[in-house]
Amino acid sequence: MRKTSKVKNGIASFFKYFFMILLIFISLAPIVWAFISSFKSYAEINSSALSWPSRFSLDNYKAALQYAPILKYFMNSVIIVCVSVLVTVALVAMCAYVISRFQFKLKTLIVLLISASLMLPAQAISQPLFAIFQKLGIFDTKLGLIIVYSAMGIPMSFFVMVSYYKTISTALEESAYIDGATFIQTFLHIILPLAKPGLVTIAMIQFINIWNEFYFALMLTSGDRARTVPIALNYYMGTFANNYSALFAAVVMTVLPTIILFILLQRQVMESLTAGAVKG
Amino acid sequence: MNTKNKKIWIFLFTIPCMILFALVYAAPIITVFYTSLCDYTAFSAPAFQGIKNFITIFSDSDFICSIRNTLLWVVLQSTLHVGVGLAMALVLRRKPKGWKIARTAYMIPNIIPTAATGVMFTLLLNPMFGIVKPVLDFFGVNYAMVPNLFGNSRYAFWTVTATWIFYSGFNTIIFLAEMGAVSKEIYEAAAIDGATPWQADRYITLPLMRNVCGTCVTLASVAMVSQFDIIYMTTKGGPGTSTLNLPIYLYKAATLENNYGKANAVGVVQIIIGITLVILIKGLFREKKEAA
Repeated sequence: MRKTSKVKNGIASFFKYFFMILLIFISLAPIVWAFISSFKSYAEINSSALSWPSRFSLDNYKAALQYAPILKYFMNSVIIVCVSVLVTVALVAMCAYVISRFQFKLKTLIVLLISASLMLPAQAISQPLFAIFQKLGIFDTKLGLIIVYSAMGIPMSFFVMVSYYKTISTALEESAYIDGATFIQTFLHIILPLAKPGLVTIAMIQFINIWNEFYFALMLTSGDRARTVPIALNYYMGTFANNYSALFAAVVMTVLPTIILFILLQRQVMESLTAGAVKG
Repeated sequence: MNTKNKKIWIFLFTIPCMILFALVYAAPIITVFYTSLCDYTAFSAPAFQGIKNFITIFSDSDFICSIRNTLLWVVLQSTLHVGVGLAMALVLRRKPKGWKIARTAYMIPNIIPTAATGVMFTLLLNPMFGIVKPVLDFFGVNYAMVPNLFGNSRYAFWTVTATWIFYSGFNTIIFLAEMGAVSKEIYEAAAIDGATPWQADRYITLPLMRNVCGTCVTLASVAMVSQFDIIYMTTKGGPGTSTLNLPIYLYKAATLENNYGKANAVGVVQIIIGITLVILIKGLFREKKEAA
């Protein structure tokens, strides 16, 4: 009896590890493969998919940087992402605070509108946005993308922040008001410092979502002025149709910064994403 | 703080958010619904014409095909994809050796830009220099020509599916967070009563996952209704209509045909399908909760 259960346990733990290793393998193998291949010469890539590069050459990276202004795309991405994260965090910090603390006439309507947009398939509204932005003269500008991205961050951040504010006791504010503090003083000096973890959470969710956003960047840009990193890949796919060794380098350059940042900040990123999914 | 002051602050704190919201969500949504009933192209202003756009798209077999593919992906994603994520969470819950590394590694495909995932798989599965040939050789499979997995309509749908279906790290961390909230005493009591680890998972862990499962299924479905990036980077909906879905169909109507009225009619259908799915899933998981 004891022996069979031991065998059973052995089999179970074998399958457990097998499953775990399999998932790790399929997660990392394509990236590792692309990484190794990015150092191979064009001829080496063509002759064998699984060989080691004969020498670690940076030619592909040089070619990738030469053919397309990837550094410019990086700068575009950094500017667009940072500004839209700041805008979303600032606006949501204010709006969610008022919603979580006060009763007023339009409150239900606001909450209803925001929760309805939470599940909206974004492509559905892309053509009208395209038309509106052309009219406003912000098509193919960083400002245009910043506006869209800041707004797209609102729904999920809003619900994360409302539930975060609800965990902060109102006692502190009440005593501040009794001491004669104004609304804005209370908000800036008492609430915001306490809400910092919540704000970090929404900033991270927003950062990841916007850094990876593809569809609107594709729809609302047409030149190098505002193209972001994910769109650069689309551009590379067209340009490097015959020089795919440079494409390997390009994909590594876009993926690596994200992976390094994620590994450095993984605990917070994972907590943020979980909070976003559960509360949003 | 007096009431008048309070009202002013409430107004000042909500209005910036609402203006942005109105510009990016409200105005476009109204426009989508209105112009879906219009004759509207890149070269002509919207002119009301009734439901003609909807008749056009519903009599287009490509469109029907795109709905079918979208729904098939929704079903696959809310079962298999969420299921793999849950299974991984059940494995990692016991904190086996290296579980943290496994969790991080499994999250990476969910963190990198989806466009990059598309490019990587295009390279990986390229019939000339990708891994298809060496893998087939390794297993001794006979072939006349290395199959082009993205370029052959026989394989394209499943190849595209494979680029996302197993990458469920996001669901895994959501499940893990929920499992971490279950009190340890329940498991200790169960172990004293002689429950095997499998029984503990089956009768304690899984029933407690219903709520969060609903969340994961909802997110997975919504993601599939608007799945665009990887398909666009790999197959652009082809070959033929084998990987065509609603967002790709919409994108093509808007950018290639320049038929905005038609694109927005597709948008309306996409919104309705999205909302219907969310309500259905909510109902499905609420019912189960009451039964339990």
